[in-house]
Amino acid sequence: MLIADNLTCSFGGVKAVDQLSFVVNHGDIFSIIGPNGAGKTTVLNLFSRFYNADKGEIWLEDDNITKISASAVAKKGIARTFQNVELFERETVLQNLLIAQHIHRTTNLVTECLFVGLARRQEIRFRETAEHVIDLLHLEQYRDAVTGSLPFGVRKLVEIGRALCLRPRLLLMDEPSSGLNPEETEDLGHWIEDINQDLDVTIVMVEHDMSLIGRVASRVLAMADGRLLTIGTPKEVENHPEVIEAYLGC
Amino acid sequence: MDTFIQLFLSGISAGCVYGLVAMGFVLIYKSTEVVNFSQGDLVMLGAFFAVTFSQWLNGNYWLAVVFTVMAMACLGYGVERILFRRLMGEPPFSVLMVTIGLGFVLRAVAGMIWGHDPQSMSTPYSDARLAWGDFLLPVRDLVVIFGTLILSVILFIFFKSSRIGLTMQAVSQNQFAAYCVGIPVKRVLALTWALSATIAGVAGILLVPIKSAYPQLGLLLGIKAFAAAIVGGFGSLPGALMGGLLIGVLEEMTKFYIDPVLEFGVSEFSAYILLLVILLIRPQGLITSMQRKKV
Repeated sequence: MLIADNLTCSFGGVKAVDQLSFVVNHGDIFSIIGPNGAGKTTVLNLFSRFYNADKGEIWLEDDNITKISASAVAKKGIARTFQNVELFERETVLQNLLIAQHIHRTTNLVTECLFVGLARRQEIRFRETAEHVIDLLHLEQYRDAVTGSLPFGVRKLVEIGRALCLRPRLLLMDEPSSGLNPEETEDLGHWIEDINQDLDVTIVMVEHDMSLIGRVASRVLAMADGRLLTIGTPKEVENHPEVIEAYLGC
Repeated sequence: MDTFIQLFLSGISAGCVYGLVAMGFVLIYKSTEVVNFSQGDLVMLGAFFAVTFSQWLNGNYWLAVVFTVMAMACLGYGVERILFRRLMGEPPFSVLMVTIGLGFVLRAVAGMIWGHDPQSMSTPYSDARLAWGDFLLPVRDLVVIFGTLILSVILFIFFKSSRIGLTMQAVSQNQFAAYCVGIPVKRVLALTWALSATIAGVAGILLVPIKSAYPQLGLLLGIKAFAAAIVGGFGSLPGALMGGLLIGVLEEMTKFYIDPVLEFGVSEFSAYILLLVILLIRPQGLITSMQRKKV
């Protein structure tokens, strides 16, 4: 479904990603691991088109997305969450979920301002989608709360909800469990499995929590210094000598 | 009492213009975190465009208004596309310096094209006055008030209901998040500049029958409108308008009641006194919509 072909990305003299190639299959929960500075988030930023690749190509099924604009990524069916949560902080949870459906709008300026016909039906449809996501992630009690005032764990969920409102086929998650307590991480594992299985969304996640990875990931890619170390099941990767060396330095 | 009401309405009229310019400041600041110090000079250009289009169109005021608004929108879009797009990612202070430089360039270019003498423009209401007993109010002041009111309502509907208005708000809150939900951030920023220049253009159109057009028109206006934006909270469009109205009314009142007593032009700097007082007692401004940044 997603192919990274010989991806290279440098910042000055530092190669953050170096000739990285791998394939993510449809239905995968694909995890990327590696020590700090390995280039994991850079890979996600390349997929999100926040960074330009120096070399290599990115393919989403039959589309070459290596050079599309960052705003066109969502239209291709790729959604994204961030390690430090990037929400519209002055808006409510519901408004965040409604804004996320921006790419599905089919109305024009006049019908939107007059709020008639198509605009009204469209708004109802968007609201239904938002309510469905609110139900799925159990966000009912936070529906009208301003996101900037919510606890970090809830904001992480809202960000996942916003990503789902895009109706994506691929979800990129950057360290979804960082900043969460053990109970929240446990719940997160369930959400990830539900999103993958019930909504048929392929997931690529950068993660440090090996117990979460062991529970949900179907395949794991380990990298260090921008280069691929190995790809395999969580157990295979965890016991791989190069991975142990990269983490422990021995 | 009649004098007080008359002064109040004149103050509201002047304040509307300050408020419109302040709204331009706020729009750009919210989207780009840069204070556009050439905002006042965009008003001056709007005034000159209105005069020129009116002359070209044989005094057809309404067509001149339409052409001026369109020209200012194109100018704002072009300025972002040609100048400020290249500065994306640069430190805000560098961009701020460019806006100051742009103001100098606009004043110089306006001087070269239109000269330095004030140029007036005839309107269907230029000399009309509304009489009500002893009470006399120039219609041009009422036009400024109603023009601002109509524009404010249009902006309210635009930001509340239209897709582009919502995307502008989204971009102003979080550009990363905006990209992730498929909003073309760069195009939205260009449209924000276009809208900001359009508002400046409307302010120019409303101002030209009162003050005429000349290259330095926007300089002092811009500084006072900047004060109005801070008084209003620098993150809120209604706040900016409210700040402008307060400054306008205060100036008119001090000009009539205090200047003759003190034999001193207190009204000239009353806006800055208000600014200092507001900063002392309510540093976040009248309407708070800015958030503290979490680091």
